[in-house]
Amino acid sequence: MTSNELRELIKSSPADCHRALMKEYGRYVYAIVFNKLRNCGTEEDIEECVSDVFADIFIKFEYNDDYSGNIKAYIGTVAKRTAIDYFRRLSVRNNRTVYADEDDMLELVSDFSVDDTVDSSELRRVLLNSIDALGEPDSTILIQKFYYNRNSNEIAQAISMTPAAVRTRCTRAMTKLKTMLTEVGITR
Amino acid sequence: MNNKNIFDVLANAEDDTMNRLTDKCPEITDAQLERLLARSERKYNDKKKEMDNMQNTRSITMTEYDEVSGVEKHRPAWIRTMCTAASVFLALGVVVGSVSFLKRGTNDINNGGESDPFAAVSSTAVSTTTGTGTGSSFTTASGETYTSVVAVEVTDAAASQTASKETTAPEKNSAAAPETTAAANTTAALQNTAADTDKYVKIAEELSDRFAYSRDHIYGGLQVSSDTVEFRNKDFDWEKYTPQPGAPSESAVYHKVADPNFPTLQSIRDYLNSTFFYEFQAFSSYLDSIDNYFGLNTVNISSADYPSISYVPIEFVQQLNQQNHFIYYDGELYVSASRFGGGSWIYSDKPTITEAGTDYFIATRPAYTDLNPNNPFVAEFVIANHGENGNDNWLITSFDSAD
Repeated sequence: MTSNELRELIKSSPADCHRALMKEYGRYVYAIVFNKLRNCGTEEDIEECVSDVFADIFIKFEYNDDYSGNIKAYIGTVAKRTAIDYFRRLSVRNNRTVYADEDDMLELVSDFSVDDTVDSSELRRVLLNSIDALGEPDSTILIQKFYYNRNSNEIAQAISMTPAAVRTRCTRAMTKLKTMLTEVGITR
Repeated sequence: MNNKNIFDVLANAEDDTMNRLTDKCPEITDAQLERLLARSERKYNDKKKEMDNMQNTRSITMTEYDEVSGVEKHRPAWIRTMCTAASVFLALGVVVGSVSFLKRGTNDINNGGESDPFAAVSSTAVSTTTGTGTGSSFTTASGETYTSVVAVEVTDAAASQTASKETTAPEKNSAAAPETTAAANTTAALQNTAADTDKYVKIAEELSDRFAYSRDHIYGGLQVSSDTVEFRNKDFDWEKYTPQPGAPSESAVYHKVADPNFPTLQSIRDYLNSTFFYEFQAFSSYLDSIDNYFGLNTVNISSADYPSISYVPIEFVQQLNQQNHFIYYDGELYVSASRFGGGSWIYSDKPTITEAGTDYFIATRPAYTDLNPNNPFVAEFVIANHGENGNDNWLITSFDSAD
């Protein structure tokens, strides 16, 4: 959807425009929010956050009609920032706030390592490359099962297979993935 | 290596990683979309109201000479005292009421009041008597009369009260040959189910054992010898013989099948076809039969995305999704090394019959895998009698498992 199309649609029918935005970018926003909140929030929290993102976007597009440029990038940025806000709120709710005195702060500062950050990034790249190397539908099954926490029935429905087939392929693909990761030295 | 831990590194991903994860994100269902949209619209309307209010407030402009006028409501001084007194009175009432209610319950029990009738039921007796003139009766088409009385006695230990209830159940009081009636049918079916439970358990056990054997040994990995062959990618024109675009980059390694039960591919197909209807039939949306699944020189694809390809003229066949990795090489059957994935099923108990009719039943069986021993699941088999002319032929009609 281009900014012109969006402008036209919002003029003719805001409700249709909202639905169109949700249809086109719903999955994208969900993926971003899920990525930030999967370790600290429930499915309900994630949906709440997604709806907040879209409410913000609807407001922005209605009250500020001089937008131009990449809508997807803008929506991605709003989603990321809103998700980070949610992450902070949920972390507080889950008692993850740590009060540190000065001595602890020194340790905390020394815990941050650029090397570790780069390592994580590299690990992510290697992992995703290995998963992609498994081919379809195995890569989708693994990601949906272990990252998006979908069960076999849901995955089976999505990729038109039986749950038993999904379970079997998942087991086999996971074994292959472990072998591939072990070969490149990832054993954790 | 823990399955889920390794996927935790994907959290807080950068943009390029996010794009890859978005591609594999599950589709948002229509119901979920409607829910999210409704919630977003509600929040949007709230925010819009706030924005409009804010804009209205901002549009008010005042100068230092403007006058503000209006009427301020006057609240009498006594209303505060009155409200305080009413609150205290209400709180006292709640406390006194609660105490008296609790005290009354204690007195009832101490003074031999009625106790909970459900706790006092000591026994239930069911007896059936036959006779005419009492209870309900009905007559069949041939004029025979069926009458029965079932008395249910409930004894209350505290009050020694007896209640009886009469219900009808079909019992024949005539020696003449019975006509079939709806009630008699129901009785026969129930008695038959009870009598056949053992038989159903045995059938379910045999078929589910075969299911696990096939799944683990045929699908998961046959007994093989150390004799292997390897085909490099360059030896095989993947693009020409498979409809799957893009050739796998790795070479394919095959083990020679050494299982004496299955010397040929046909013997595997025969085993599966002859013993029970196996879910391999519907295992993949691309494949419609055991023949196709286990590889013939036919790739039968009904998908509109790929043209139909038949009779690949080579000595071995690769099919879709790298599933069918059986090959004939030098007249021997070989199986792909990638088929050995582990995860064998281990049943933790005998089958349980959860539903039974005259020609079908449903059996469940707890199972787990050696890769995931702490996460057992329940395998559910629908088994039906497909025999003709009075011959039994029990087959697994469908199979499912719950997470």
